[in-house]
Amino acid sequence: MGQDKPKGSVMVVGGGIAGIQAALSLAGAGYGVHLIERTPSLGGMIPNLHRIYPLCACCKLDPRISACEQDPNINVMLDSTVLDISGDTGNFSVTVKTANDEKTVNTGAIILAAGIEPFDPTKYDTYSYGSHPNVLTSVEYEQIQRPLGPEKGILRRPSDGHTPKKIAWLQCVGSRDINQCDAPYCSSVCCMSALKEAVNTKEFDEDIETTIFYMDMRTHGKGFEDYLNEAVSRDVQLVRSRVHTIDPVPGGNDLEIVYAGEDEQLQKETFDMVVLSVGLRPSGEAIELARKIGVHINGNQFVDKEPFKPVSTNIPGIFVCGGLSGPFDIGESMTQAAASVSEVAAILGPESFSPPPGYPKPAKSAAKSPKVLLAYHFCPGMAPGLSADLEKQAKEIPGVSATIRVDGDILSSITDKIKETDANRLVFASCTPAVHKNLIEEALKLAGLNPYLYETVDLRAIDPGTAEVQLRDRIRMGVARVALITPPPLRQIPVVKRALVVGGGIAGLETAVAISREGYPVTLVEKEKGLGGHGRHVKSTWQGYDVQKYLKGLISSVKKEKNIKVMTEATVKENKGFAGKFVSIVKQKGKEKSISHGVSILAPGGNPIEPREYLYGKTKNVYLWSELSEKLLKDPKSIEDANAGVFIQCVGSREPDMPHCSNFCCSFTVRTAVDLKIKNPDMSIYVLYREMRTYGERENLYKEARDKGVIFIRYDLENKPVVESLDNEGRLKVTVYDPILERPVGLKADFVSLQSAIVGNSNQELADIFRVNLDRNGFFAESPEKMKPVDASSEGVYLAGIGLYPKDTGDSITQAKAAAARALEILSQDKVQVGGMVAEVNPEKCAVCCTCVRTCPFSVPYIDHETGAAYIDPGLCQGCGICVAECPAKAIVMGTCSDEMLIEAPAVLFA
Amino acid sequence: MSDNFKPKIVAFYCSNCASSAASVAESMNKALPDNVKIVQVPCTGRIEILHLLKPFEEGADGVYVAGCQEDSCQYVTGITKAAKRVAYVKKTLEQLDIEPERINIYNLSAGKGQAFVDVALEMNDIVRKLGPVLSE
Ligand SMILES: Cc1cc2nc3c(=O)[nH]c(=O)nc-3n(C[C@H](O)[C@H](O)[C@H](O)COP(=O)(O)OP(=O)(O)OC[C@H]3O[C@@H](n4cnc5c(N)ncnc54)[C@H](O)[C@@H]3O)c2cc1C
Ligand code: SF4
Ligand code: SF4
Ligand code: SF4
Repeated sequence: MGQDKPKGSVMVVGGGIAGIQAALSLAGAGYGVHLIERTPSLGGMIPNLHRIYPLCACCKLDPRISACEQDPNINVMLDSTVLDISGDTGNFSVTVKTANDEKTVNTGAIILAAGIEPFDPTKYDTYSYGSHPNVLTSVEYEQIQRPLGPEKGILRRPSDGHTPKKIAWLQCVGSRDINQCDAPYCSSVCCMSALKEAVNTKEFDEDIETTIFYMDMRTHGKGFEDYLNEAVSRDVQLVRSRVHTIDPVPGGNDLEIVYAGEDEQLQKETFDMVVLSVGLRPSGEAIELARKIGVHINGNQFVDKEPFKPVSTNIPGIFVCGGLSGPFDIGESMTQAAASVSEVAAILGPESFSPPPGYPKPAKSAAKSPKVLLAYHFCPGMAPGLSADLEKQAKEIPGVSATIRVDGDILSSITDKIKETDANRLVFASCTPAVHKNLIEEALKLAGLNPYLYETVDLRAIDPGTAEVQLRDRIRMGVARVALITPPPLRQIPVVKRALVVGGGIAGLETAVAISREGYPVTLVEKEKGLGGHGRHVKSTWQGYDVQKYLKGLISSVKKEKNIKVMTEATVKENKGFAGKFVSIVKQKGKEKSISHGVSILAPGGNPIEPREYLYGKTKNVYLWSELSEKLLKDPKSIEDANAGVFIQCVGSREPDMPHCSNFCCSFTVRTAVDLKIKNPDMSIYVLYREMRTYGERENLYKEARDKGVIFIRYDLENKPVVESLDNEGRLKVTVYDPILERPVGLKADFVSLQSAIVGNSNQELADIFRVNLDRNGFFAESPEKMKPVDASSEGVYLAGIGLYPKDTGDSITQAKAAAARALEILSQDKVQVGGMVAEVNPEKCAVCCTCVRTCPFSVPYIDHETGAAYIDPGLCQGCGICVAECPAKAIVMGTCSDEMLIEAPAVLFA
Repeated sequence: MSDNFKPKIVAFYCSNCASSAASVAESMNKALPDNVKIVQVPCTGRIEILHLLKPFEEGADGVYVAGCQEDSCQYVTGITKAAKRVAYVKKTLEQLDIEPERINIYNLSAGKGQAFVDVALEMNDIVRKLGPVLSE
């Protein structure tokens, strides 16, 4: 159990989303945390942004900030910077400069999370940035879009206050450029954020023309390609061209852009405003600090890290997460933050500042007559008129004893208001109440109430013309129902201290290691004979690290670990239960075994599809990319000696049947091409692509490939390449239409590698068994609560690796560590609470007819012979209410959706 | 019947698909008509025959249930059970000399978000053609 670990507190440097998340998880795991932030407030970049892609989740930040401020185990130090660090694990001594003095803080481990700074485009003198008011950076543009920002969300152009009719976005400003700005890498987030800004502009006013000038549209993440398609369907224009000059139109406020279209013809277009999608830089001051204390910095000026240790610096005890270590988006930054917590746990035992805060004992609220608090929240995307209507309605609905509009810190505003007004029930209205459920329940608990004494009101799909009626109906319904809730009984159940990991690939193995080293037993279920999954066919990471060597080490440490029970040739057949207490039936070689566990981690991985095009399977030398990679491991000569090879990208991906981008195929291709060129500089290598998505620091490799003479030819879906077999020797010819030469070209090749779409392995099956949702591309859906990137849609189930979305080795390892950190949060608790929105049998009324036993889709009710009545385990009941409706004796009740509520509903609505 | 007849419609929505479908509807700028009044249930399987008849007693002109697809109900059999109850209520309505078309069941899915609003409009049309319930 790591008894010889030193104990201590942890310092987190940087209070952006990564730092905040790390601090909260650390405090949850029992550590005292010093959170150091340079500016006067927490939040980092996010408070500057208008909505967040792909799903808006701005409302999730403020509650986290105030949780940091209120947690007695988090010592928030604002206006503070770190001057120096000395010492080692368990015993660091940090010099902190605060607003008015300098002090030394002792701490056991350090997480650097100092984040990003947007690139300053002033030095691009052809863009008129700084000299023309209508040229803005993307950060400035998002400020204008924010409803709570200086312009109150009303889009006006800075020069004359007119509503713009045409807006242009220029991509890659301060990225992918070594001539003017020394940043060869791609900033990875700006294609998506430009799409987001354009879509939100359309939402503000459908008639504003939006045009994005780009080089490659990099929508490589989970759900991003769907977002791109949606943007295009909303008439966001995309023009593939890098723009060099923005010319102010003389005598006015407009701006002219001259660009070369795809046919190389020069075109001119005038815009009202131009937004520069500026790249990301690591926080300068923090990089200086890192350098000073000996942390390695890479060629792109980010903190250096290895793919197999994705949150570690070269100094033991000092970790890094978020934008300081690469251009990462919010989801990635949060995943890394969770991963760094799991790494801290491995080397340092927790030492807290004070015991964790508890909840007040629930008062007997049911005994009192209902006193309803109506809380409402405005989301940035909501129609502007709606908020005014809502304010008005809130005051007029009978039965409401107090109202509050919550912004920012939803949690404490509700808790405080309940206490202040002595309310005992809550109606909460927001655009997507499902997102706020946990916050609401937490607020009720903190206020000393039963956490299920609330109803939600959904503010979507309201017709602005009749908003008043619709709002009134919906709120009235909520108020009537909440008064009728009987507070359901709650029970504490001991946590089963074991994890079940499904999948023995890199992600599953890493999760198992990270959980077991904290002293908890793990059962790892793998359906194949051997461990390693798809990793066994991978030669190297995109950075060039040897995957086989790493994997061997990982597998042997799993086999050595007594706490990990590996079951190969085994599959999970059934799963029941809830976070803290699951039971799974695992079938291994014909035998079934029941395993109790407190958490489940799904890491079933994925595989490339077998294409039905490009002569795959019909002729030799046409490989699937996994096959090529295997060949390079087992018989490298056969490929390295070739005269010519062709790589075809997006095979099956990004087509109507399978719209997602498979994320790492572009990086695989440039890595492999560069390696082949190093071995055999004379080989001709062609890459036929639709969009090169070498996002982030992978871009450097793309450049290296071009420098080494790899030829890249773009093709369109309407004009796919054609593969022909030339002879029986396996020589091939690939014909592709070259958009620059404007004619088809024929390429002779000794091999063709098909980078086909990656799909999940057994996602559907596992989703059914574990009762979690998939997204529309068949990958596991993240928790609907958002900003929980490795949580599945049900509590206690965590996700890692390709099953969640295609990703490379390094990213899978990060997720695995993050999933482990989340799992440990439950495993380290002694009890979990069950009950709530569930059905309950009244034994006096039960006629023992067994109707519920037969109808429950989850086989929950059984006849308890001691009481002579049916019994429903509140931990297992899923709360559907089917048995409640079926029971002929009306012996089953559901306090949160009672007969009374449903029978009274029409009268309330027609009143 | 008069053209400005605005029927009173009660809609029972399962909260799972109602929530995800509503977000799609919202992103497509589709709104529900104000005469369709929603009652949410955890699963359509919770709805009993009495709950479906009650709105008619209170003066509704139409009632519908909107739940998941038959094969993707989170609670497996909820929507199938609801379909049976709706069929039963149709018969009951017939016996009371009320058009059985006044009650209906629809299958939504998270992917078909526009259906969230489309079914409301369809039901609205059906009931508008039928006119108000003629009570004796
Ligand atoms: C225009 C734009 C739009 C974007 N849109 C999106 C989007 O829609 N979705 C998305 O996922 N991502 C988006 N991003 C990216 C997103 O902002 C980052 O992924 C995220 O902010 C990274 O979080 P972080 O905590 O690592 O860094 P930050 O948010 O930058 O936070 C770092 C914190 O550390 C503090 N700090 C810095 N140096 C020190 C020091 N020496 N000592 C103490 N404190 C220090 C800083 O003041 C700051 O508070 C966008 C970025 C830009 C520029
Ligand atoms: S290609 Fe990369 S650097 Fe350029 S705009 Fe897109 S994400 Fe940003
Ligand atoms: S090849 Fe793969 S990574 Fe590149 S754009 Fe196509 S699907 Fe995306
Ligand atoms: S409410 Fe649903 S899950 Fe719970 S016991 Fe009844 S039928 Fe089963």
